[in-house]
Amino acid sequence: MTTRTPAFAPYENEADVLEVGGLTLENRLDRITVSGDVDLTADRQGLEAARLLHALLGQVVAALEARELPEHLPVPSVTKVKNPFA
Amino acid sequence: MQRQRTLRSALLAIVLALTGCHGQDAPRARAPELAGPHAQACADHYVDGRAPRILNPKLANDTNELCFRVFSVMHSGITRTPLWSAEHLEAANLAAAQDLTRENSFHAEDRLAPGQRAELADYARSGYDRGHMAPNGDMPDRESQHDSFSLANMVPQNGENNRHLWAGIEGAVRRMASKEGDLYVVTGPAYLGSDIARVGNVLVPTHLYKLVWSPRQRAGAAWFVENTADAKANVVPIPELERIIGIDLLPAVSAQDKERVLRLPNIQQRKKDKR
Repeated sequence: MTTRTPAFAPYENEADVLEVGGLTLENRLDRITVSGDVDLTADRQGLEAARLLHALLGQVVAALEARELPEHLPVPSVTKVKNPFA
Repeated sequence: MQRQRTLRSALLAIVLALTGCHGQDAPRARAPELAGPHAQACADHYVDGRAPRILNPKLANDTNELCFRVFSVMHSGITRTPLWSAEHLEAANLAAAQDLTRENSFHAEDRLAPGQRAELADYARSGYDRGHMAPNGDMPDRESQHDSFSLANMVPQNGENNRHLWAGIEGAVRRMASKEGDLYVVTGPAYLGSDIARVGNVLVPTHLYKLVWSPRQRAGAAWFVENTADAKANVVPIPELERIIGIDLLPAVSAQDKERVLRLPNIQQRKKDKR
């Protein structure tokens, strides 16, 4: 059984989401958020999930290695407005 | 009993589908080919079919009611977020089997005017999560899961809050719905105070609420939490929440019934929610 590569282009869009069990990977331009948990069980399903995560993390590493990286991300720009409902 | 209710709501759905969706500035109707076992009308998501009523007139500006398959949203073109997202959780739907791996995608809501809706770019590099109001984990099928990733169902949410405290609340509500048989749930943001943070064109809520109403117990209550990393899972009676946010969330429920407080489970901060 081969593992199908999901449509997940690391750091290239704000849209892609992959869920593996209770684990969620969210693609952002400045980060990939990994949250939740998953059991990588010692069965066929577990192997498939492990392969998928392995392939995806490989892409993440490759994408980061291919670019010039700052030491830290810049602080996000958040502005203040007057409360329209007050 | 369950079967009877399912049949009744199916009949109701048909009637409502024929009469259409009553929202101010009602969006174009969903295409009929979307009708399936889970296709519902807006009114199915509200207690006795009655949508929340905005009491603070400033909240009503540029609003659009949007019906999705298993939840309904009142969208604000001012905040470019929902003001509420309403669901009728039924135990049978929550038990639906899930594939081990699933793909999804966040997307702008194309039923909304570009000048009023959030775009993916608004959230980019903002430091905020796109926080679901009707949670993905409640969705019974692939189509509804896709619905839940519409930005019309999102608010900018503190990441810690979203992934721990809020995920815990969402899990607790699903467990309650499984026990109760069904629950009405209304989730949304609150914008309190004189200044509001903005990312791109989207306003960041100061607080989030999740109201739970049990038809079986005729009682309800709500979580009301700050949109911060170290927020506490405060529980408030429904009338108090409604006063704070300026919305009558359950117009079908009498003032007297709203006073009857449903016991909500304790939420452990940072303890992982198990589906």
